[in-house]
Amino acid sequence: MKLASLLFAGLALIFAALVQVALTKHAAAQYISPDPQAFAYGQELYARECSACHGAEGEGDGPGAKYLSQRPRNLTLGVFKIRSTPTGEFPTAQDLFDSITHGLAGSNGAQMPGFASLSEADRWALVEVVRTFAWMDQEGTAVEVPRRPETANLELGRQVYERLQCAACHGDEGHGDGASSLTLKDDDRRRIFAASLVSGSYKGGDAPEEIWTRFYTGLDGSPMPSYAGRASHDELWALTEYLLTLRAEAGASQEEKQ
Amino acid sequence: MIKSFTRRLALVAGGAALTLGGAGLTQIGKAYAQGEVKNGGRLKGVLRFTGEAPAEDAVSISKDSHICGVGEVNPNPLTIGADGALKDGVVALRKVASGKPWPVAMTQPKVDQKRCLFEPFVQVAQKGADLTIVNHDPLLHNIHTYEQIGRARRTLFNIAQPMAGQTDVAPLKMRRGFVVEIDCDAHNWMSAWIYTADHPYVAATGADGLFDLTDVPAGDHELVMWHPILGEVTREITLAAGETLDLSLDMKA
Repeated sequence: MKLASLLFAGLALIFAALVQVALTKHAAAQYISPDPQAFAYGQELYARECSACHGAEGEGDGPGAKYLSQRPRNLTLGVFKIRSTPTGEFPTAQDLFDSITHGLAGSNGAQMPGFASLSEADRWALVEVVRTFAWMDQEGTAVEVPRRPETANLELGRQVYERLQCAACHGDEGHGDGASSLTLKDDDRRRIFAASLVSGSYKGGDAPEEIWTRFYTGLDGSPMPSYAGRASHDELWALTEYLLTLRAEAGASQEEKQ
Repeated sequence: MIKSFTRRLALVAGGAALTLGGAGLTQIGKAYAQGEVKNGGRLKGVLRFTGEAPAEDAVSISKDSHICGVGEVNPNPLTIGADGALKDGVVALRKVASGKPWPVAMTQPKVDQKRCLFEPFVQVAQKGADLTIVNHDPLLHNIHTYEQIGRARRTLFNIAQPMAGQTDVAPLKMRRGFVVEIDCDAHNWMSAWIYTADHPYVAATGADGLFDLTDVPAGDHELVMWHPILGEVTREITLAAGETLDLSLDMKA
């Protein structure tokens, strides 16, 4: 009897230690546990709201896909343009939620519509479906956007635009007409054009912090690379301010013409 | 529905493996065991191209001529030497569970960008290794790596290098593919390839088309021949303990 209880206590201790180890690793890898209920509910929603373009199994091959100039994302490849995480990393669940909410409308024509009309719970259920299609076993680590400086150094921003050679694709004035824009291809080997930085909206959102993040993380799946480490945080802020000004000026001259 | 169910199962299994072993979904499966190979065999020989060469792709150098030069470049050339020897081919075994230790070179793949070309064009590396990238040109290159999965390709990472002397080290976080394609979006004629394996029995051929795989565990193996534009060909071989097989391998267009 004594032996049995000793054995039991020993096993319990070992089990507890194992759980401890598992939990530690769990936290380190930021593993998000699959949520079966949200997934089942999300699948119904997905079939109704998303599958026409993204396909029944998320492969970007829905019946509507062929009518779109930019192919709907093949979600199973696990590559996403709009991320708060470094290049090569998965997005965060919040990134996916934001893309579903706001859609992805860029200067080359609005493509994915936003789904803000769905309830928050519905959108999170869709995140769970996308995450599963994408084989995302963990979230990426979001980059912390430094505080926006109170003054804008536009001259520095112009220099950074030149030094990072943004014009190679986006053109001297940011119209998306740089020499390399003519030969760009996306992951599907389809033609893609550099975004105009001065007209339309930005795919990842127009907030200054969102623009800063796009420079830092790049847009995986498109030719836009990550500029992390290629300019200081302040220089990327100056670049952000420079683009905001370019865009405001282009918008003003557009209004004058009308 | 069935596919997403299996995917889901795998995700749960991946989660379990992750929780228990700290390994991600991408690293599921038994890792290659390094050790001494007793009485192994040797696979050597020459890889040749036979048949008619496909039409050459030619991309004109449309920008940055002060560094990149002028004229046209074939991004993915088929280079054939004396007696049909095929350069930039890969000879590999498909699956090897255990065998000789990793040579250091395979664990440290590196790509240089010089005068708007990648060097080397084709290399072999350990799957999942960190890739070192160096820009020697005083202009913007972006190192854009993709994993090939069937006919699809997925970005692994995409890093801007606007200045000469910039070096980056980034992991090739692959899923089920083996082939890494490298592009520079800024210069559409730049192309390079890395054939990765989860064991060290893999070799890229030079101008003489020769390959030599040593200390190969005896037994039945699937032999893979690969080339960026010729694709993949496989054949079965049987290697006895201590045997040296001298092979003449052919690839066609």
